[in-house]
Amino acid sequence: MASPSASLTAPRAGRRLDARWLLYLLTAAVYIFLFSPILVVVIASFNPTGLTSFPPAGFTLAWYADLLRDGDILRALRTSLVVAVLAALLTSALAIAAAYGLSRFTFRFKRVIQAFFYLPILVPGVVAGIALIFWFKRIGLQTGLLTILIAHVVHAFPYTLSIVLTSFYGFDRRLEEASQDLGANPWRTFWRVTLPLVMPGVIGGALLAFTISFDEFVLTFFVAGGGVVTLPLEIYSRIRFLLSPVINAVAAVVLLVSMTLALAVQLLVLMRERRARAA
Amino acid sequence: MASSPATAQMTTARAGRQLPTLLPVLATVGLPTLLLTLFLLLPLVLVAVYSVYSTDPITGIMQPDFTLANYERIVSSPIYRKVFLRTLEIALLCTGIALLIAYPMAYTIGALVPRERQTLLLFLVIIPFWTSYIVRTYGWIGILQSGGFLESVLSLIPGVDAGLDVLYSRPAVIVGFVHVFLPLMILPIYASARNLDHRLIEASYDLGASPWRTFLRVTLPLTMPGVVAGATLFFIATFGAFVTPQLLGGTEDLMMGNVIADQFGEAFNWPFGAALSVVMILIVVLSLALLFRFADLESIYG
Repeated sequence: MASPSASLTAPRAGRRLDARWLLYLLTAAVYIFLFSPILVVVIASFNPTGLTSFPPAGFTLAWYADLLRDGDILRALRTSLVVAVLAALLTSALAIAAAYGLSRFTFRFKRVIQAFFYLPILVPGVVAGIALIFWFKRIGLQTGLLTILIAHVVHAFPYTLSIVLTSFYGFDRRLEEASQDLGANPWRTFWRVTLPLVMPGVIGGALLAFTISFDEFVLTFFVAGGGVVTLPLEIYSRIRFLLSPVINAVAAVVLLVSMTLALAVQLLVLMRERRARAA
Repeated sequence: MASSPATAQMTTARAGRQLPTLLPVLATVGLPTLLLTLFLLLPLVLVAVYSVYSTDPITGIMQPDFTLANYERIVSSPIYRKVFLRTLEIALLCTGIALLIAYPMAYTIGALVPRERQTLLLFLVIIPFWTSYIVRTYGWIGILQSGGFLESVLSLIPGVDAGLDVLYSRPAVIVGFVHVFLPLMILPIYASARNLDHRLIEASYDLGASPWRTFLRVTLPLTMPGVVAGATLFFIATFGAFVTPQLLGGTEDLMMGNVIADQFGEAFNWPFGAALSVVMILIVVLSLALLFRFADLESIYG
């Protein structure tokens, strides 16, 4: 696309150039704003005083060493990892099924069902959390790992679905037809042709579900029921009740995990878009 | 999220020819539908049912009933009316501030930056958004607390005696909200700005309109779908929030989400918590109805 200012007369271009620099400056400021709490936590995690003041008093890894000795945090981390892996597997399996159905079949109420799949995004966490406690009490399901997992899968499903669904729409359907023409049954076609083609989207969707589950707080707060503690719950209770410098180190680790995964999701989505454009 | 119409038609034709039965649909779409029905829809129905139950005044135990007393209490009690209005006020104020910050940025990324660099800039918006809400909010405690990052940086400037006491206050809550939900505002406006037809802006200039007039009469109307979508998403997220006021606000900043959560802890009144939840859902539905009334979503995401 041609530059919009190309056809402008000189004085006008000069004036708009100034406005443009102002906008770039403003944009840079917003990026600083978006990343500032992240940077402050990371800097503080290496500060010997454990404070968030600037400049830091020096450099230490002591808080990370403390973290490795902190049984509660390590336990919470393990719980979070287990829940997030299970949530990622279940959510992506459900998203594959849903995306396959939505992209291949026509049926009554299809639009309603598709809208219904995105409902979890719109229900406020507090309301969804409370609704789930009511429900689990009502059907007699003990709160714990299973209830946390259910909450996370429901919550992550629409986000994962939207990534997986684009994959299912985005490839050349003739490849599937070729497979069937060569005598493969639908099941074999799905495993050998369809699934490999949508894999980048599926992996992206699974990683996103992992990130959502790993970071999820509000729903977990309600459905955990006291017995099981995930990492966000542990961090929250320490922020509220005993502010200790170890939290900076824990927070930095959480940031590293979720930012790496978020980056990976974005790269996979990008890769798929490039491939779709090339096709 | 969009599919090309050609693919969609092809799907329709093939599906109709090959698989006329209900079974494949049930086997694919049925399972997630069942999951969401069991663990989202029915629980929400239960909330609506409990909201008309009563509590035994002595034992505090919930009893099946049909009463509107819980709703009456929300409207008639000065405390809860105040919480409701405060929640509305904070959510609207933050939406306004976020819009003022997000619009120039989203416009810059979508309409001024060359296409090949837009991807990277979007990454930098999306990545913090998928990064732990709790940790990012905690980061603001570190910035805003007395002796924290902001105060110590300000005190480096000679002549500034920064006695900063912002944490646990309304400004802290506002900063926290604008920060955590800003990408919800940026992304739809970006999508609108990217699809902007620059020739219309050129035409406005050629016809002698000032930059300001061009913005108000051409650019803003063209990007309005993104603005409305972003503002709605941002408002819904802020209105229903729980963590930010809990961690960054004082007792004077508690919002509906906090009061709802309280009904399951200290206050222990399930039917009342359920009624508050129903009101919150109604606000969300109302906002969405306005969104669909005023914005053509296809034009943003199409």
